[in-house]
Amino acid sequence: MTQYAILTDLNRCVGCLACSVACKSVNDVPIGNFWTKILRVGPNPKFEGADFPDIEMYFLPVGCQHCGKPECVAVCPTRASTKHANGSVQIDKEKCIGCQFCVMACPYGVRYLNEEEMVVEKCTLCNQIIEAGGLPQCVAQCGGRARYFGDLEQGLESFKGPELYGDEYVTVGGELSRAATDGLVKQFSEGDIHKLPDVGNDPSFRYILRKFKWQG
Amino acid sequence: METQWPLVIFTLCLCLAGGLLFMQSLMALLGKGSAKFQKMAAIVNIAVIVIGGIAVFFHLQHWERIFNGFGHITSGITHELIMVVLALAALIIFLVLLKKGELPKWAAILGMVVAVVLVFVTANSYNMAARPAWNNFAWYLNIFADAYLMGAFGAWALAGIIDDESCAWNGKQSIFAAIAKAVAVVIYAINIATVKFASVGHYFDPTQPTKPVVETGSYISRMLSGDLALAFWLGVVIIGIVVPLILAWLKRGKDAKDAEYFAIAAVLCAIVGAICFRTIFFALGSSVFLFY
Repeated sequence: MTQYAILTDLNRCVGCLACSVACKSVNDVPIGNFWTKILRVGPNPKFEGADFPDIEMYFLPVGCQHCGKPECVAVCPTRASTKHANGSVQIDKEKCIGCQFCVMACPYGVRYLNEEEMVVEKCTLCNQIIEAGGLPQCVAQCGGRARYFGDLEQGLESFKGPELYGDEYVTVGGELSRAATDGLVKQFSEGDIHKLPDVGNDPSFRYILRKFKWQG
Repeated sequence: METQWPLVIFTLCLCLAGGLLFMQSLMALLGKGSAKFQKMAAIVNIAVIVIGGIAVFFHLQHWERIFNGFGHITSGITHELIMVVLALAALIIFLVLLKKGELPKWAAILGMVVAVVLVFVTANSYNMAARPAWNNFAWYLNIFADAYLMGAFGAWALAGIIDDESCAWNGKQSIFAAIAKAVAVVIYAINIATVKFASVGHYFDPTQPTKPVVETGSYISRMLSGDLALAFWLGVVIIGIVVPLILAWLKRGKDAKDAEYFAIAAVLCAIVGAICFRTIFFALGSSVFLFY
């Protein structure tokens, strides 16, 4: 079993939107649609009744979570949405009838109707790149070097991001361009690992947030 | 989320069709209603399903691929499509059998089963864990209550139009149906009061740093006294339940004259109420995790 996913170190994310822009550029995401978007969480008081400067804030990059039990796949009447062998959820545009029930069934609001093609689209985990051995574009171009890509079944330690000091952020199929999480990500505990609200869909993406309170 | 008007019409038609099919089947089982009434009910019902079918085409972006919609058995849309075909088949069987005489008991039971499953799959399509206001039994209860309400008033109106001997009986059923819908709405309101969301998002907009993405507030207050109050109190409660109930009450009894005018007005009111209920349903259909 393989379950490709993205790990984001939220203590490194600076909210630069590079992932969002890179995704739009590589995948030709229509204006108004976001396959990857940044949510600002906070400022929130650090404790009950706290005021400035006792506040905290983090940025949360959100896209399709390529869930273990994707409800979007279950509700799709045409099998246009399917879960692939690598664990990613993909849409066959030839089969989509644009009923948008998958949009309703997704807890995270990350599916969009492409109003030119009249089919639903979302993050593909840059399937065209990862199948060739590369990193998803949002991982490759993360401005804060906060994003890592890998197989959840192999553990978060196996996730990799772009090399720290390389000239090229991504070399498709080239392991040399990668840096493992243990080389870049500061130590984290089990309690620092979070995922988006799970309503039975088992989201695959993971987020690391240390010291701050995970808001849910 | 925004009101999906084609789906409003589609679910409305399926509820009306399911309710009417159940009522005419029940009448056939109990030996009430003439063959003329049964024929008329079946024809009207086929027309209602066709209207619903046309409405749903307006929701699909690629309607030419509609037959792909039978392709996935876990999908609520596939269930609906299958049940629509089965309901149409049942009604055609009714018409064939009625040519030979009265509906046999097995056909009546078949009709009731198809009607119940049709209404169930209609409700079940929208039961999504991602949308807390939809993910509850009160939604199912209200869809069944809508079907009973529109089915009973529809049967009453049809019986009144053709002066069928079942007119008074259907009028009485309509009173029960309106009371059942009122109970279902109260349960829905109680249920909505307990809906919870995990909302952490704010707009990524420095000019509005503290503006929440969605004003979740209390959903029950939105419905009872907020932006949805007019649709709820005037649409669902007064027009959808109270007026039909009064109309049915005024014409109760066997010697009711001119019942068809009251019945037609009542069924139109019930339809308006059901539409208002669905607009509230969509308005409350926010995702469990709210952001832009």
